[in-house]
Order: sequence, then C-alpha cells, then structure tokens
Amino acid sequence: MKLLFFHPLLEVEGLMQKLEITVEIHSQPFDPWIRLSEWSSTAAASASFSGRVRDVAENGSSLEALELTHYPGLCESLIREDAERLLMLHGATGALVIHRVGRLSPHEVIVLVAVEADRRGPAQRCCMALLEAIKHQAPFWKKEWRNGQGSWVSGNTPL
Amino acid sequence: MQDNARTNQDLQLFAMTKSPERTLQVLLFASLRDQAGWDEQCILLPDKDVVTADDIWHQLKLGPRPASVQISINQRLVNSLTPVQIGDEVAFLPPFTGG
Repeated sequence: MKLLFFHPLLEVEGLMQKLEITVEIHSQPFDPWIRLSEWSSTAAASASFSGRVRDVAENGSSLEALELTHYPGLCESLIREDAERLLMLHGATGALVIHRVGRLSPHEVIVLVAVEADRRGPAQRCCMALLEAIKHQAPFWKKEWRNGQGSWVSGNTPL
Repeated sequence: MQDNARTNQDLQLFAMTKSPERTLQVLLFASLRDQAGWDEQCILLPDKDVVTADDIWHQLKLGPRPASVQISINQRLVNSLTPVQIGDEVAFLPPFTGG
C-alpha cells in the first residue's frame, strides 16, 4: 500500500513535503530487485538493504527453517510511523519496506528496505535507521527450526 | 419471596457477567502463546471501577510480567497502568525480533 504523508509542522509552515511510504508484509517470496526497479523514481539518491535468512541458528547449528509471525495491523502502522518520522528527521522523501512472514528457508529474502532522497547521506542514514527501527520496534517474532524442533529467537543479531 | 428475589438478582448478575458487553479480547504472541497454550481469548472484566492492562495480565495467571513484554490496547502501544474498556483488544507482546 502506497500512502502519501504531509507532516503537520510543515503544513503549518506552508512547506508541504510529500513523503511516499510503502509498507508490505508478505507470506510469499518476493524478488527484491524486481520490487526495487518497480518502486524507484527519479530521485537523485537511493539506498537499500535486503536481508536473507542465514543457514545457521543462534547456537551455531544448522538451520532448517525460520518461521516469522507478526501482529497484523499494529505491525504495519508502527513501521509506517517510524518511516514517516525518520524520513522527516533525515530529510529523505520516500521509503519502501517489504517484510516476509511465514516459514522461510535459508537464503530466502526476509526483508527489503529502501529510501530515496536528494543526496546520498540522507538516503543512507535513513535507510539504516529505518532498518534498525523495524528490527527493534515492529512486532515480528522469529522461531528457528532445527531437527524438527522450533525455538523462539531471543534477540536481534548484532549490528 | 426473599429467596426468589435473591435468585433473580443472582441470575441478573450472572447474565451481566456472562454478557458479551462485559468482556474484552486478549491476544498473546510468540513465546507467550506457547506458555499459555492459547493465542486469543475473550475474558471477563474484573469487577473493579478501573481495570488496567496490568490487571488483565494478572488475570491470565502467567506469573509476573517480564519487563520486556510490551502491551497494546486497540493496536496502540501503552503502559501497563493504562485502563482497559469493555470490548478492547489487549495484546501482550514479547520482545520483537524482526528484520
């Protein structure tokens, strides 16, 4: 879903800045390169991050699959709020977030975050900040499957 | 007569407490689901003037609430002392591990 946001402070000051924010949560695999090419505009700078499922579990053993659950509704709205806040903070103009849920095999793409701006600094800084916000502030939960046994992941991997 | 009145009053009280209007929806996620053995339940509001999200947690009998478990009411993150209302959706959220 693509939504346009106008920051209230900018509206008051008559400095309307259009923010394009797309947030999608999918239960099926997606190709990040196709999605990026469909999404990108003529902005001067863009930065993106795509993450794949590792083939090792937290404890170093071989990972069979990663199962992701989320809280539908709250998850999308929190990501959108973070994206809006961070685009404003960094002076960027657009964000794309696609996140997988369901059962994923090792090496499948789990997340894509992309940000557009007028300069590389805002695009790169905002992309990194938005990814970290998603990792720590969006209600997703990972369960690792090893030898037919599932266990909840206790925390995020180090930066 | 007095017995009948008491019986009727009891029935009214029973109907009130079992009425859908006296309930709210509780959601659990991830490890909390495994711990409780359920993911969604309709529960009766405790008989208090003000019922907080923390009161609802204690009603679930899942032990002390870990500080890392966040709470949302009607899909807004709140603190544990936020009052709940009849018909609310109250969710208890273990630490997030997305991305």
